Amino acid sequence: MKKYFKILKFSFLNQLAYPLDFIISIINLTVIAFFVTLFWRIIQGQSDIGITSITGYFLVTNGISNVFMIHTQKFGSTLRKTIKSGDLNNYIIKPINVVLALYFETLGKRIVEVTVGTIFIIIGINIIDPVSIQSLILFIIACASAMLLGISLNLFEGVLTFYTTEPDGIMNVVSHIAKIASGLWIPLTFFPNSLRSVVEYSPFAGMLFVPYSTLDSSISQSKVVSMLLVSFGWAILTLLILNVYWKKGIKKYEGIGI
Amino acid sequence: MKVSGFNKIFEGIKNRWIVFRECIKYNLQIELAYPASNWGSILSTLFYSLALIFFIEVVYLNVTNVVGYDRNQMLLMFLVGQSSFYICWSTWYKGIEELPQDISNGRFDLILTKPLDSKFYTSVHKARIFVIFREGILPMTILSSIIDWKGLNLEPLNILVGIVISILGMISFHNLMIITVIPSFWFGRIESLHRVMYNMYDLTTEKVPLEGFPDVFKIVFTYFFPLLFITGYSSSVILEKSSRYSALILAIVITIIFQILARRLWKYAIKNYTSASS
Repeated sequence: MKKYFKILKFSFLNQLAYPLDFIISIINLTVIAFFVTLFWRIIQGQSDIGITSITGYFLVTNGISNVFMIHTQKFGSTLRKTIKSGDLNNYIIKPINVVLALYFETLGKRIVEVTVGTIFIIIGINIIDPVSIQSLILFIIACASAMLLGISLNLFEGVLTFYTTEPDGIMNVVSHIAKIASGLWIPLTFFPNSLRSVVEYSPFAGMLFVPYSTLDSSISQSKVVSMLLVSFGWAILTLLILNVYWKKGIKKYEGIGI
Repeated sequence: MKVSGFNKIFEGIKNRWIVFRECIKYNLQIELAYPASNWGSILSTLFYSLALIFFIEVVYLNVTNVVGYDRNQMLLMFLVGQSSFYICWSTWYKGIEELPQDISNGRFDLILTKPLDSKFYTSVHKARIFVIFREGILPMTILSSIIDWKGLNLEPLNILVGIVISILGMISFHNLMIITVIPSFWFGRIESLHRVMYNMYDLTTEKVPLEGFPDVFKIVFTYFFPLLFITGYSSSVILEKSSRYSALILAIVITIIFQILARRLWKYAIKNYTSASS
């Protein structure tokens, strides 16, 4: 693992060459969080959602999305560009796991987003009604599941790139569905009951809504645990399937010079 | 004004039109070279619009109005926002977005060698009107079909003034984006700045109606970052929630100010530009 952390470090140091870009990234994330919170504060004035919980909800979910690069899809974008440009050659010939290497490299480039996302999560948790130790432990476990599902979503883009010349269209479709079904745009508690029971057990809910639900005392513990187990199941299943197709894709891959 | 003055203006407009037309033709060939990408784009924008419509439906299952906008009015606001997006995206946005890259890799020098207004050519050389037809028509049609137009009771004059305000808003946004990318002439890669501006544009045109903004932010996004004219003011005027003439006059004044500011800053940047390749 040491070599991957070194990759992360070098990638991060690369970003410091453009300090202004660095600072403006922080402003960018804050602007997005502000507008989303503003819209929902208007909505909460006409519904029975408590003001603290809606602000806390969007801070936590946006934070998780940024930390694990779920809806920003930076990792997927890195995979796509690396495969299309042929730079994948440089990774294949080295004694490293290609996916892990690119993941840590992307993480290094996105360290600002990860840091700001973590701050959003901490502020969000503090805003939500008192959170028990048990909830926090469940939250951390749910974040692990969210991370794996985020990696799956991004890896899907990489796998698609092996099989199509332009995966953008399909990825954008999946991304729009994911943004709705994960609760990034709108809390799943707003959905009609019939739809909600389906979406809550989808792989997308495990990305954002399930981690948040561990902190929300209005959702029963048994339901949270069942959603958590299902999301872990989805994470393992999707990663297994994508791993198979990634290996097939690498065999299929033709790079100049190899 | 003398006749020669009119001729000059007329020549200027004619030359710009010819350049714009040729850029569209050239970019159309590029767009049509990748048919799978075209289908992908259609699917992508279609699903985005469906996701947006679903979002509004779910919100309005839980509330009856959002700062006085019912479901129908909110859909109209989204229609105005989406229309403006496709117009900006297909005409000048790409050209301005890629300017920092063009500066750092020396491609901007090629633009400067041409006997054209560099600001104009930078804006239009990536114009792709085809995008409106490929990506915009279907989502706009779907959005228009679910709006209860009769229920809105719109007045033609308000619609006309609203459209004019939206166009002026797009011009201001164009100038604002130019001002945003100008620091690239000195600082090199500064993509985050234009991304901030784009996110502010995205969020002011699609999420919050004009009346939902706190006063301080209304002032900021009217006078300092004039993004509210594109959708906020225009849809508010169309729906008779704001006075049409005061909004129009404000839009005209702000557009002129930002046009002059962008032009001056551009000229200053070009004067101080040191090429990456020479």
